[in-house]
Amino acid sequence: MKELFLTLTMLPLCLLVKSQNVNLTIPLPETSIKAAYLGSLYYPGFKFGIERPYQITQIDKTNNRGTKSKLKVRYLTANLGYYHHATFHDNFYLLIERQKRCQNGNGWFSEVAPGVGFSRTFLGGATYAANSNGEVSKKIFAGNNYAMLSASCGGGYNFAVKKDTPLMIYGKVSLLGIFPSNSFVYLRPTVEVGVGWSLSNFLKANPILKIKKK
Amino acid sequence: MKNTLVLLALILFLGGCAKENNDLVPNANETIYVKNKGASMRVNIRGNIASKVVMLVVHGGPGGAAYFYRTQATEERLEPQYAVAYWDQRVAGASQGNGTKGSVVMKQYSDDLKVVIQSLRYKYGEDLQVFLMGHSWGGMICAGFMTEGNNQDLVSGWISADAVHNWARNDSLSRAKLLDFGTSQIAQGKNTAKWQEIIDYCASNSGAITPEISAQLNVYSYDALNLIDGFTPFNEDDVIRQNLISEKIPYTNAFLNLANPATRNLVNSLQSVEFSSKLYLVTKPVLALSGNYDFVVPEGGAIELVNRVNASVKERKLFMNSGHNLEEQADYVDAFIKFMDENK
Repeated sequence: MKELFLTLTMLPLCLLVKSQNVNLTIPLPETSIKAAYLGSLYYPGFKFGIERPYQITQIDKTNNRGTKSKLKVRYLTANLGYYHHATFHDNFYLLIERQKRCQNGNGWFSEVAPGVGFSRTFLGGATYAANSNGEVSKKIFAGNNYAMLSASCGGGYNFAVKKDTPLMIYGKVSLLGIFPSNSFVYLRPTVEVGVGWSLSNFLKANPILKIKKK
Repeated sequence: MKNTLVLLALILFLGGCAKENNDLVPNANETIYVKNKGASMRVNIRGNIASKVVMLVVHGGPGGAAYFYRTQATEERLEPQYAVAYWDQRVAGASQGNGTKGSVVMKQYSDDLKVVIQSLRYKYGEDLQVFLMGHSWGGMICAGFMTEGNNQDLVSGWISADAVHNWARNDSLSRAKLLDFGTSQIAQGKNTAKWQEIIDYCASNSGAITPEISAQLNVYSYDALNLIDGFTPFNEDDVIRQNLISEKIPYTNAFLNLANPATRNLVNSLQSVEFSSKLYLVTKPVLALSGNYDFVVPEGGAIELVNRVNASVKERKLFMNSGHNLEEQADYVDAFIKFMDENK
């Protein structure tokens, strides 16, 4: 009974998705894995992540020359990032982003992504501390834990749109904020250049589809 | 595999416990961190640590950075002879972490200084000779440290360079110097509009000094440095610009520390902090240096310091063409070296 109820409820939605899928002029975004060089201008790092679309809106704009389509895609992304700033700290962080991407029919896209996460730093030098008797000891793996907020924007090119290759290249700038740092906040601008690869049947996405006509 | 992990853990553990005393080189460049009450404070050790003599920089601010003090003169004259430890105080420079609640207070800074010295002695040996060099606000930290318990036994001497030890009194000295110097400049027809603004402010705020008046006097004191013919104030920003990459300066951290609200609260609490009444406790050698054009920390403070300490060796020197930031760099550095030569 329960299964029947579910099937009846989902059937119209599946039909709707199917019918919209037929009309999509740009290939449906899939779950992708991403790898990037993450630099803070001079200091190197990396970022690995996964992005999964959960809502797609196709916007069709019609004028005298025909119809132009673009996709507005919302993703949830999970990322592991790291940078090395010698004599300052090494920072490993886990970041969850809610990413908005605008995919044009020519393959180019732009995106913005606010995020929240957790950061663990390791201090950039041997670390010492003294107890109340003044006895000093060396601390191993000394560092600090922080909460993290981030905001980023960028753009790239998605080869899947024109050439059916599940690859994209992208670049973006981010501002990472870790807190509470020194009873305040520490801000770090970063630059990211990377590639994304969609793997068929890997965490297959089932996003909500919408079509808007203008 | 299990054995390898156990061995690795043992090596790390023993490495952590071992007493260090093996980094005594003539050209050190090592960064360490000192953790205390939540803060992770950067200390960069440069120069001839093999000499077993180190000048510990206690920088200005609050919220400044030790990066400003590694100038060409320090690098070329001082570091080949002795080591210099550039310490970023909590909420300053490259220091990080998150201090426990209420830790950005005057007393904590002196406690931090003690732990920094203990850590240096742990690392380089208990026979390491440490000379404090407090500049500006750093003088408050040094004075707090030197007048507390047996702390001074940990150091060989105290250099006070354009440094404060009595916040409220310094504000009064600052106001008096601005009034005096400004009046003479107006009489000579030099920068009359700006000087008039300054002396009007000082004259109309002649009573008790609130934190707001103190802050404005500080602004005018720096403005005044740019009003003197033939005098160019030392530009700290140039040091940062030139060394941004080579010194791996985390500029956003340093900038945010400078603008940190906790630092502002600390400054506002300093009106009631003075060490004049405790200076008699100081018996270690003292060198007090001042700049003739220093409106931020006028010479009066150095005069009082030398008069009040009980040290058998106490000297004072006035640099005639300096303001607040050790403008006659080579001469200041030579004075540091001479003092350490004579008192090590």
